[in-house]
Amino acid sequence: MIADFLLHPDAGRLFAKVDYALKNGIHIQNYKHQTDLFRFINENQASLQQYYKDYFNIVLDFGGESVDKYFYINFMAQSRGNIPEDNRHFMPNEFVIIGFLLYKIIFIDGYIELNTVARLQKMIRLDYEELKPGIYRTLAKAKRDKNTKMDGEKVDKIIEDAMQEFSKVGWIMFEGETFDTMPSFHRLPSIYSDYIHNLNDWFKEHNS
Amino acid sequence: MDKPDHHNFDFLSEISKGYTYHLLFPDPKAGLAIVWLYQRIESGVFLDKTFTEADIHDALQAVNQTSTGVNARYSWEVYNRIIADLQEYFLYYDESRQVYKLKEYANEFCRHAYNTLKASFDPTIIEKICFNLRERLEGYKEKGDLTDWFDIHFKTFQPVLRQQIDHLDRQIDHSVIEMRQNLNLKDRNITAILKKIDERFDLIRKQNNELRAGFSEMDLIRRVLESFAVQNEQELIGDLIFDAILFFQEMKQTLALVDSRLDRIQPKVRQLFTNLNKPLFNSRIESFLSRLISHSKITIAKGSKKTLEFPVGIKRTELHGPEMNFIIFERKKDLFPLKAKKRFIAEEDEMAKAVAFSGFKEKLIQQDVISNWIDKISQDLKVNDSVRFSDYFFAIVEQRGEAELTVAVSLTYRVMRFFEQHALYQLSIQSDLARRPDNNISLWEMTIQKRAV
Repeated sequence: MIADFLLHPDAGRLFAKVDYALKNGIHIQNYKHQTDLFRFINENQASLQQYYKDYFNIVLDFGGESVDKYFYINFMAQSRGNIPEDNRHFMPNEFVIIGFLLYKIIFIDGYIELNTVARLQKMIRLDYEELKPGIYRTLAKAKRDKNTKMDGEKVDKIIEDAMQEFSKVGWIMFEGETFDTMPSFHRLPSIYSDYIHNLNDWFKEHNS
Repeated sequence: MDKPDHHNFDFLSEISKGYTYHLLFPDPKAGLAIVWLYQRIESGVFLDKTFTEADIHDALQAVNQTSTGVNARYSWEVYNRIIADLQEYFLYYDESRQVYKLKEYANEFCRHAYNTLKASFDPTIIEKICFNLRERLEGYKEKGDLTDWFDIHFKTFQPVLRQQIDHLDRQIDHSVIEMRQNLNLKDRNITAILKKIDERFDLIRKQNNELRAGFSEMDLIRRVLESFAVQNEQELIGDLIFDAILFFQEMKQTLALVDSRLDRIQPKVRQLFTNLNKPLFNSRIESFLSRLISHSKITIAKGSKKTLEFPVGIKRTELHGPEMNFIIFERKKDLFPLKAKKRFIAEEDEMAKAVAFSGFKEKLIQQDVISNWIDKISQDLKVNDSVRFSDYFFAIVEQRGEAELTVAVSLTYRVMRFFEQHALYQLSIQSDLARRPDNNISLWEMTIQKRAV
């Protein structure tokens, strides 16, 4: 039943919060202050999915499994051509690059103890020599071979902004100065999984 | 099948017979004595695993300290009966040498309990240190003086605990670094790495348990100290206790920090773990990232604003729709300040007040008059079966005052309302008009009568 979630005993307390959070692009997982919201969605998943599909034509999607499960509204799932470009909110491309850098640092290179923005800034600026020229070119928009202090500051600023944006959508959570990546942070590679899996074909096709 | 006896063996009914259960599972005082003997046999105190009756008495006395010295003779008799009972399953008596041995059932009995308890007992270093410290503290508390406890034990304990916590913290660092080094090996064997991470993960979990065990022991020590401070108001000891409590608070905070560090690391280790199962995906992510970085273009849009454009074909990341903005209307108080108006103060006009009051009073009186008439009609109805309303109406109107007319009309309404719903009487309106020769008022005749039952 589509209205099942409204009959849930916590609907009065939680539905409005869940609805605003999801529509604002927040990813919800079973973590600290999101636990209530997560449980509400998880217990009413089918009826909520139906509700968003029938009344808003948007997709309530989920990723991850068991303890790593997370919910979100998938704005990329279908054509949204009826919404004018100016009113659509895109994540800046720079942030996508930062996201993948963060992903590589923690989940591929295993720096699982990384938990401050300052440390992340330092690592991105100093520890990845092979990527460094590209990072400065794309993030600081610097063309020169030599990097200046100002370029470094630009990179730091973009990292800071990107982290704030990730925190806004629930990919990471801040607690004071320290942050933690959430299960939903894995949404980033999953958004691009089509390209990632067919990298060479796609690249040949478009950029030869 | 070759042992048909088993078909007739009912465990429950067998064990319920007579004292059988009691003999197999003795009382604590007898059972603990067996454990006391078992421990000594295991540690090699009794040569060739035999012991005398005097040893059994020692055992019984040691585990039943509270009952000693009540009546020596009585004890001996009780012990004698206990030993006789134990001979059924637990003790074997060698009459020729006058020594006892444990029967196999007794060995099995103790071994089983030992293994069961041992499996769940695994004190950690911090727990052992704290447990020791607390035991000593209880001892000194009995004596009523904690000075030695502070001087001798607590002072040596402090650096040991600090070291232990530092050690844990460092171990976490090592775990993490070692794990990463394995990840970075050029020729990496995924299963080996997974196994190593799994071991690390277990170790981290164990370290975590160690911390938690430490917490509870320290809480106990704190409680003992606090209760001592309340009972003993010695200034010097009071200060020492205060310092010790501060120390425990500080250690607890440090432990909590290490603990939360583990809490944050654990889920990531788990995620890393799952990630390593897809090495191909990871290396593809890495090349995707390097392509993004090397092939994105910077274009200069309006003015001098530089924007970063991904290689052709990559759609942009859209994470949410337009943010919802509510338009909230509210009257801005600061925009249109109200002019101060002169406050209207009503002055009391005694005359008007008196008029208003008398009018009010008149209405009240009128209500009373109407009620009286209703009462009168009700009274009359008790005597007569039916009454005509016009009689009352004209009786009032005859007085020819304006007020009376009002009363009469009001009464008509009241009567209609009152008797229409009445349980005993009913009101019916006739089709003829009631008149009086001396009055030009006429009204439809109404009769009120008892309802037909």
